[in-house]
Amino acid sequence: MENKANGTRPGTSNSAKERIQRVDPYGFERPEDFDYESYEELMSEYLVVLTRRSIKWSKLLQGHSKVEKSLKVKRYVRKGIPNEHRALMWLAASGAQEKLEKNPGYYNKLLESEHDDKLVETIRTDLHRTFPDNVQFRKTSEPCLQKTLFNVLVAYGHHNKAVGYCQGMNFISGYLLIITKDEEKAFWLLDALLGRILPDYYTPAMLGLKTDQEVLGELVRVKAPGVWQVMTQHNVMWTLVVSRWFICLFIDVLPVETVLRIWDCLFYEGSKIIFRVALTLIKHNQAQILTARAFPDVCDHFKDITRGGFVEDCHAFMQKIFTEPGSLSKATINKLRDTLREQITSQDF
Amino acid sequence: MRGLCVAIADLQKLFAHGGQAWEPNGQPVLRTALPYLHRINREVDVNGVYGSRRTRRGEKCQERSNIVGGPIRPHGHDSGVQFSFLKRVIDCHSAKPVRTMSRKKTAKGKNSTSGTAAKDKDNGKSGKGTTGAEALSNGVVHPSRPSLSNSGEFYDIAFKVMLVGDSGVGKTCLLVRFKDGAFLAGSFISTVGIDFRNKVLNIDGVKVKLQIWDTAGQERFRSVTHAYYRDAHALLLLYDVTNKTSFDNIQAWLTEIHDYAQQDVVLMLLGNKADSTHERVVKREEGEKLAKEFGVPFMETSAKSGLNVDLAFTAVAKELKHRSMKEPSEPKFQLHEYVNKEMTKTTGCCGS
Repeated sequence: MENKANGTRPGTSNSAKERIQRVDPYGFERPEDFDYESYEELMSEYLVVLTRRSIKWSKLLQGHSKVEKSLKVKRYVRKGIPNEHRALMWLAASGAQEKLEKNPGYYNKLLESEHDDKLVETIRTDLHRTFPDNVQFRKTSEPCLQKTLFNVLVAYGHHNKAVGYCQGMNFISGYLLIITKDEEKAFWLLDALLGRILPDYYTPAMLGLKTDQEVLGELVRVKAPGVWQVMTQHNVMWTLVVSRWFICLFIDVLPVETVLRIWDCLFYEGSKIIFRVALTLIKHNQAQILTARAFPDVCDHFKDITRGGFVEDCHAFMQKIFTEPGSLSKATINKLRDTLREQITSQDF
Repeated sequence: MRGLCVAIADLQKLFAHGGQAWEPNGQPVLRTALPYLHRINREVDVNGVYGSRRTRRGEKCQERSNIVGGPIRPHGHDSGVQFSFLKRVIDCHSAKPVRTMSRKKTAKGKNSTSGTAAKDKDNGKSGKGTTGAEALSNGVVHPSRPSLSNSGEFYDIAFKVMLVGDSGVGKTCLLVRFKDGAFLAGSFISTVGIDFRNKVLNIDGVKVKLQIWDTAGQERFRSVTHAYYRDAHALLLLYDVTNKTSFDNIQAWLTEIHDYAQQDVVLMLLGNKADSTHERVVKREEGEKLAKEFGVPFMETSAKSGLNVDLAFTAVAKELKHRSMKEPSEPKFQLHEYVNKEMTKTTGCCGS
């Protein structure tokens, strides 16, 4: 592909593959089959957006040490927080900053305390399996995020003993470290997510996860009945196709930039965003899912719909998530959560 | 644990009966509580205790199917070749060896059949107004034309295999080695939830599609993943020979399997990472002993060197294919013997 580009435009010399770095701004190595041409095309447009947003955000934050929540800020967040302000905004919006300031030294105390051996061992098993494709997580890199990741997870495991460590937390903490570049901030953001923003996805019973999977199912039944019918027909349980969406908050499901844009809203608006994203993916690709002729087709389609141009164009995708699923009130979700949680508990899963 | 030993030993006995299961009084066990199980007219039941457990669990399954999306619906019409979304091409999910006893829900399968008419008779008893062909849906896929799997490969029959075992024992690596022949040295990520890959094997001229489910090993995910156990035709239970805890946990896994998997599930114990001679803490003999105790076939594998990887999956595929396709007069496929023979043939070092 790159040779072809070379051949046809000798004057402009290099192909997209040669112009674009092999490692993305977050340290992830681009996969072998990465489509450099379309990425370049996409970025040429997105960079304009980023620049515009960056200017707007600088003005917004100018002279303010704190950002109050407002409709304007919400709109700004939905259009994407520039990377340079991301950590700040996540911390402020989620209440993590406040916690951090109110508990000086708490994080270090957790690290210094005696560690639970079993917890440490469980975390260690996953350290080298967390973003091996990210150069910052290599053992040889300096600073090595594998070490700070270990600290954040061990500290959190002792901070929230009911959760301890659950797979998926490694990926979430990894992203938090990439963005904040500060383990204490990452710790408090993790605390905000697991303690306040998300239901109990990560506790041993995983009741919040089971509930939200079924909530999504109910929402799909109303908003994309065809898909619901296909799922029912082939007896595909929701957990099978969407558990990773919830547990990893779309990490490794959607492209990095898209995930970060989703998280902008997640920290600001709460867990409702997860349903918006999931419903958008499902509704937008309804026709494709409906072609499933058998159980494995359904599973395959659910993998396919998380790839391609639709999700890579993060700016357009984020606009879609607020239009495609239609109205989705917090009250609806909470009501569904209550009903379904009760159903699940009474069925003694 | 003792109860489990008995159960598995009974399982072995049942295999010897060609998979037919009867109550001690000679009556087939009917699952009246579960309409979708009616199609399978026989249920494994070795003793009274067992039967009651099964029923209870069966009800549980039904409850779950209700929350997930309501009870399984009756069949739409098989409309031939063109596929509306109502048309279901039977696949591994609903594929189920006919001759073996099963608790599996079956209502969603159907298929065109050929060369398997004899099997319909077995299912005829199940009532529920299913036609012979539909009744076959709890059977293996025998399409008149080979089916096209989603990876674009043709296959004759399909099965669902699950990989289970502690976190970090190498389930994903084993699967990738089998699927792509590659070893994921330091480039794999921990599996969250559940994932699957397909591979079509040619077993004695029959294209057998294995849909292989890779599960998260962490204990809390079990409550999420054991929902799939009941649909699995085979389970590969892994431990890591360099990790004593993963070996010690095998008994707990067997209990889990006993509680949630089909009783006739094909089970094999694998000691993975056998290439790590220096770090090894579990001797091959220990694995063999444990496997013998529970009456399951055993081998050591290495996703890194490829040792026994193909053999493990092939043996399972052979067993499943044999179970589903053999004529009554045919002798039983001896999985144990096959495994032992193949291992001495191919590796020498790990054969028993």
